[in-house]
Amino acid sequence: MMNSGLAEVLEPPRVARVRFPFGRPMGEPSNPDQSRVILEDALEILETATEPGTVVHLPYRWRRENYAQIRQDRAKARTRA
Amino acid sequence: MESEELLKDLLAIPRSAAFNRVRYIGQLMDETEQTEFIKGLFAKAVESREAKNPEVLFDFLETWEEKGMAAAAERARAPFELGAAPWSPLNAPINKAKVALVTTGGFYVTGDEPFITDGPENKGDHSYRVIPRTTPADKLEVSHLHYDLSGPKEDRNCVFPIDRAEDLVKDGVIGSLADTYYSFMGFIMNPELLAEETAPKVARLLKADGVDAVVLTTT
Repeated sequence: MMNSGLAEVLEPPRVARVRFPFGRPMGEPSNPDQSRVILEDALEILETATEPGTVVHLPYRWRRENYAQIRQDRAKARTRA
Repeated sequence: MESEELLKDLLAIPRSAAFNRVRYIGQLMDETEQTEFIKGLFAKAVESREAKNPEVLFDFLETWEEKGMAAAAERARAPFELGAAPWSPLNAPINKAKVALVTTGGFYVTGDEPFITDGPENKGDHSYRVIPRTTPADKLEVSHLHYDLSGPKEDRNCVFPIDRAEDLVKDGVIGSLADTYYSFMGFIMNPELLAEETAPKVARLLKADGVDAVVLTTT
């Protein structure tokens, strides 16, 4: 998990790039749905990236997403799969 | 007021989390860029009101915050010759892998030495702390002068997702977790000591523990 702007400069092997305030890489405190979604995304990048320097921009806007809904949608998608 | 002073005054901002990223515009950008930011802010505020769409303003702010963060990162890496991004392939799918957490958030266990966040020469601290996986929330402390600690003090998972990792093991998303995690404090003004001493040491410890993958959270 890395905040915006640093990832391209420092080039770690795989990056889940977030657009959250400095000091909140997993999102807002006391929002377990949010930190869960971000951690799941990071692990997916870990599993799917095929080349060094992979930076994936996570699409979430600060304080403007419904993470409980995102988790429900993911659960549904898993059931269908 | 001289234009330079005026800009400085306009860009003097409160020390709160909301201003954390925008601060770099005032600290690290030149006069032309700072002027461009303030003019843009004015224009986007009006545009946003006309369109009844706050996203216009949010996008503008976030784009400039990213520029500011990139400027900070450039400054941090300037003394180093960084090669291409390193790579180790993942040897097992995540639901079979052993995963560890590493953070630069400045966490330490109650009773351990806090990080040196400041000092006479203000060189930061390149050392690390061992964080047992089972450390309860009320035994985990944090020392760092360079980001807003109110978040991790309320809920460590916004920086160091210890409890979320447990949830993912329970749900079978992660195979298993290492018994030991590691914490650094990201304000390190002697990064060569990190690169040559403590980072390789932690990497060796993780490898010896049979860890397949690390999730590193930076502030």
